[in-house]
Amino acid sequence: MLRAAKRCFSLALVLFVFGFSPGLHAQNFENVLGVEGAKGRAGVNAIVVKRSVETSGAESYNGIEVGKEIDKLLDEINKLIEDLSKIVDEGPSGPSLPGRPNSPARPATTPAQKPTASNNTAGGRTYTVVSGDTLWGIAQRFLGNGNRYWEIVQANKSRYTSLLNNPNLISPGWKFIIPGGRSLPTNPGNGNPPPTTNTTNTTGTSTSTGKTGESAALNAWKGGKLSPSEFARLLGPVARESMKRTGVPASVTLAQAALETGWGKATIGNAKNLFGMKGTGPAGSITVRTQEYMNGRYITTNGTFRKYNTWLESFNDHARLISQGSRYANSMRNKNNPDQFARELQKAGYATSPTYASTLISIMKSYNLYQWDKWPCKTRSPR
Amino acid sequence: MKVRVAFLMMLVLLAGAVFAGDAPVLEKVFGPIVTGEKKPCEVRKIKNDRGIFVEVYDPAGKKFWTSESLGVEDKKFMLVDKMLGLALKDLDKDGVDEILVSAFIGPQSSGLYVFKYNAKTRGFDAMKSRFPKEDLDRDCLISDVNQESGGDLVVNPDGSAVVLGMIYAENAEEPPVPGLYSFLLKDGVFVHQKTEKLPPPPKE
Repeated sequence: MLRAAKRCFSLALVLFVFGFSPGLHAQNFENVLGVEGAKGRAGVNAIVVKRSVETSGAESYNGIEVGKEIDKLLDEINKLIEDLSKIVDEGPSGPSLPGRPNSPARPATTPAQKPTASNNTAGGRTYTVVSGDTLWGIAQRFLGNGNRYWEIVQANKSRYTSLLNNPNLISPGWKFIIPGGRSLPTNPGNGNPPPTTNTTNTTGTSTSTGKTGESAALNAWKGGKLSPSEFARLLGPVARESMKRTGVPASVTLAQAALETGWGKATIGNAKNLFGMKGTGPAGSITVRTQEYMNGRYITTNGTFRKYNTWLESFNDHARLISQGSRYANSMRNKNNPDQFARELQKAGYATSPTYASTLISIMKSYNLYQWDKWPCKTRSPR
Repeated sequence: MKVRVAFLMMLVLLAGAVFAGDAPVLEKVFGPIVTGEKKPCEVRKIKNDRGIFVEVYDPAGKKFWTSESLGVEDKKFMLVDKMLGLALKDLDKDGVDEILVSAFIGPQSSGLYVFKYNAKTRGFDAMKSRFPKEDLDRDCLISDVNQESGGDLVVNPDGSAVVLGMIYAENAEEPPVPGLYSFLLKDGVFVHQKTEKLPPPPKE
């Protein structure tokens, strides 16, 4: 909070001073605000300054008018300083750190208000976030598929670096570049995952034609222990789809999901959570009673786990932490060698056990999970 | 008017200089962590867009060392029975405190880092954890059981440490079980001693 306020204060001063450069177009200010103005509640103050700058946009300046404007803006600067003092006095009472395991789960949506379509400023390739928006919902509306939220993250990660660490946390006022975006549809999606057009053939082998890689059989699966072959048959196409997006080998993530869930037994209720990820996911969170071991005894506590709309989201979320984390960079350098990928995960500390990699490799070999690293013959591998 | 604008420009530059690079401080502690320097240094645990870091300031208040990224989110550990996120403790009994700090690495794992002063580099080196049998060294103690209490990363003043981690069976179809991995600090390295399965939790 303090940091945001400080940034905002700096920004407000920048806006104030440079707002009087005759050649500078008002739109430039909006661009600047889009980056910094939404980082905290102090962003509201910056917008006040912006408005003043815009109303002073007459091309012909004279000394008296400019002087009056300066006086007005000085008043606003004073108000800003007062607001800043209030914020500083309130201390670190702002929201808990996003995704922090020790803090209460943060909602996946922006705070409280319902989305207001009329506030959208989508103009072809940009969109301004409003209260109630979710990244998934924005992807659903503009890209036609909520699972493509990652494309929005990629397109905007340099502007909003926190997206990489926590794509669930977005703020009103952020201006997203929509990759290959289309204009706002007249009837925005209802927030549900898009229907897939998957089929199951007569031999029971799932085939997927949807972008999520999820077959009808997988959609019907609500969790529960499967045989290893059934587990791979159902989730293999999804792991491969995730590999296409993140680079993490499907064979490795399948083996990890098998280990984490006991071949599908533990997917945390209806959360579709294959990796026991804590926090808040694209579909919110699920709280379950868990046992924690501390000082030689167990204590019962509530654990908050991420909830996903699709199995693919679970794979993607897990793979994101691996593919984006500098700690796992050596693994990603070996993304075409699943065994070495697993060994590098172990070295980096993905798991405590010093035998984790050999366990993964054993699973991959026993059930030939490597086949899921290859793209079907009729489809070109995107890797 | 020119004077006003110039004044404000200076104000802007001043604000930029003061506020640039400022990141939220999660915790800070003071203590003698530099060999030969009796005055306390300030150690800060911070979080910015790139993750969790430790910064060290000399007694004059000047920052002289920043760690690499330790993880993506904050995390607690336990020093005996105290839940902390950052602490100073002389684990190797050389008269100078080490920096103890934890972070959530993800997707499941968390790290407890112990940093020791290095006079040659005027920086801090992470004390390694070692599995001798498997010839595996890491830059921190790792737990892959993410407990909110911090009880999955425990260190004691005598240099012993216990972390919670899953134990994997040779038979891949057998589910992993949680275990206690014990370490002991020897010659500046946390050496793995033994692994024990946790007793099953009581039925509610």
